[in-house]
Amino acid sequence: MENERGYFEQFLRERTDQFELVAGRKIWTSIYNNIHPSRKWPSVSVCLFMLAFLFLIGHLNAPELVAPETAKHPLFFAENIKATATSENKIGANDLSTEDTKALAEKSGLYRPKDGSSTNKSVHNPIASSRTGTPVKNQHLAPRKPNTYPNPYRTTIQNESIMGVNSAATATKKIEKSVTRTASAGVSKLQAVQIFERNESLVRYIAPQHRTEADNPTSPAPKTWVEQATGQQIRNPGPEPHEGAARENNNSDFNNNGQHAASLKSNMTAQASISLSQEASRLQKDWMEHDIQYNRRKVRPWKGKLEWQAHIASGISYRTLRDNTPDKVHAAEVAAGNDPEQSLSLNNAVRQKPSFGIEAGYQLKYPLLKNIRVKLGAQFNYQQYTIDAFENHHPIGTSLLLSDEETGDVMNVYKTTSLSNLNGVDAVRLHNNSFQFSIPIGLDARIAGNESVQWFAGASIQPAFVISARNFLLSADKRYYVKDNSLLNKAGLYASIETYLSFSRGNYSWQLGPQFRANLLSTNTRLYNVMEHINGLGLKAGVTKKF
Amino acid sequence: MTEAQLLAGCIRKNASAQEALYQRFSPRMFGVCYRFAKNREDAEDMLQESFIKVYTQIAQFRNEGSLEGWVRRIVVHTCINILKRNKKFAETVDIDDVADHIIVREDPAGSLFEVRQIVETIRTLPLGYRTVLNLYAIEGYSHKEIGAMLDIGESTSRSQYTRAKAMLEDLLVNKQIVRRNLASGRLYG
Repeated sequence: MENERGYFEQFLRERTDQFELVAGRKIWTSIYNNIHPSRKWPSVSVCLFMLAFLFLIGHLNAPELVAPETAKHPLFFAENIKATATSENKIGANDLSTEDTKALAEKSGLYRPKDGSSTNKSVHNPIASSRTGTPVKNQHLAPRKPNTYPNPYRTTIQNESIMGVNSAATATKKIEKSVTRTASAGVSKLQAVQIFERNESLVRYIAPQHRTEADNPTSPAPKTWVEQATGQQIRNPGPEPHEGAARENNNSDFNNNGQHAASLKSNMTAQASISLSQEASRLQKDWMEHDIQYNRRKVRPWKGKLEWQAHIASGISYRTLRDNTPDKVHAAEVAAGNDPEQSLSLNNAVRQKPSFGIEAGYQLKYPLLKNIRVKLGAQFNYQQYTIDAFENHHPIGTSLLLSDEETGDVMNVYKTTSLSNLNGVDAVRLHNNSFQFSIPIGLDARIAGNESVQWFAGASIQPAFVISARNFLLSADKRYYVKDNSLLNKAGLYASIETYLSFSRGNYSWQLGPQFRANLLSTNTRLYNVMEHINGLGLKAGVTKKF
Repeated sequence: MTEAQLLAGCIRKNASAQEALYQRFSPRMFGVCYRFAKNREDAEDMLQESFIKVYTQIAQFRNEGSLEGWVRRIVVHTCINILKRNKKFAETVDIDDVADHIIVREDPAGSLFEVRQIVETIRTLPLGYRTVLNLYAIEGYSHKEIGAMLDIGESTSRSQYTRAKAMLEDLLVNKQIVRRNLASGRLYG
């Protein structure tokens, strides 16, 4: 029964064996993605690379923080603390605790407990604590000794009774007043305390009868807490009388020499002010020198070098054709009587005109050398060209010539179309266009110029991805046009060369110059026998700014 | 690239070899799918699924016969499975869908029109007739094998084929695609 196969079956088999269809590229793409699920589109990889690159740029340009270790340095003064002063931490009259004020009074010599005990407590002072290595509260400061300053009114405080400050409460008031006055300028609590402590030369106006044997003018000047902290000799400041000294002072000397005391008072005030300002200047200078040396901020490698550019270019796009038909087909056409010249000169066989194109994009540029910058960007391109053709009112059968370079097979794909290259009923204009996304990678070289005007030349390679397109293909006999996007190359490669003038003004630079963009790969796949290259020539304008 | 090189490359999952194999066999296999399918989209689905099976099972090829024959058997079986799975037995044929992308090898002058018409005429047959005719007359399967593939009896396959053949002959002659030799009864182009 199986011998039923006869001539009919053979006839069918022979005929249907000749029947073939060309599947679109998307079929292969689907198959490929299915059998290679781990491999991604090049565009996805490139997009991920671009995102990672942009993230890296942003991370490297993030502001650097000053190392916290430097803040512990003894000369890390309240300049930084001042910047952080807010309304929340501004000190008020009630912000200081009793213990704090007692400690401050004791340190400044305004107060000494009767029993000789020390509060031994210090308001947190990073300067002293870090400089000496131990917290101030754990230090045993040397008792104050009289200095050699020829001022009879400067002496050591020995007991609680201080002329002008005869009680701890009064001392507390004065401390609070001083700190509050300082704090009213808007500094933080810590700074106010530091400034108070720094004003070591607050007048301790002691009556002569309260002076002790230790008040020896010849004795070396007692070291102030600043001297102890820094190890440096500080010129002894002059005393400064208390405001309430005249009322509270029962010293006859003072009372009997009112005018003399008044002049002395003004002199002492001026001297004290001068000494204070000099001391403050010296400390400030020390701090600045130390800050420069130890608190140097890290150099941001990209700062001032990396720059971005936004650009737009417009011009014309035109097409060049190249015949990729195998030689044996040419020979067959000649043997069949077709015009061999027509089969060899594609560009002469068609009537085409350049058309408007546009480009817009964004680039990052970084100087590799003094006059050379590397650039990387992203841009969109729109290219088009025009074909003059004719349209008929009925479809006509034609074919496209496909050839496989690997196997050498040549195939004719049958098509129908109403568009003719040679003649027809109506003249029409066909618009081939292409909308692409590309990634230019290249170099810019500075040729000449000064700070304001510079002349550059640049070149780049641009991998491109076709987002959308319209494609009219020439038939095998070059007589007809067929609208077909199935043979379009989705990926392309372009090269660009340009030259431009750059005008700098302020933070921005403006560029203007011509650009030529060449298509290195054919617009169509290699199956199609006509290789098409769309090139562009235009004027490019851009604006650049450094990060 | 020779067939052995293609086979070795595909077994190693070399992308170039896989694409070369696809480019070499896909036009003809697509034609096979097109004869079984209702329309071009179904044919593309059949082709895609067939080649996925080819690549996943290519290591099982035993060199018993040609690689093309092995691929073709996979394609045919895949087409049958899809038809059975989808059970799309629409009777319409889209002429416009047929007009494009038909290739004729090396003989563009004479048989282009004839081949296309023959294929289209086959596709106008009812699904059952068309499937049996494709499997028996063109692909060379026996009625027993056809019965196993389509879950029908061997006699059913024979009767289906007889009716399909008669219908196809009449269609081809009536459309003047082929002529019948009055003496021998054979068809010729």
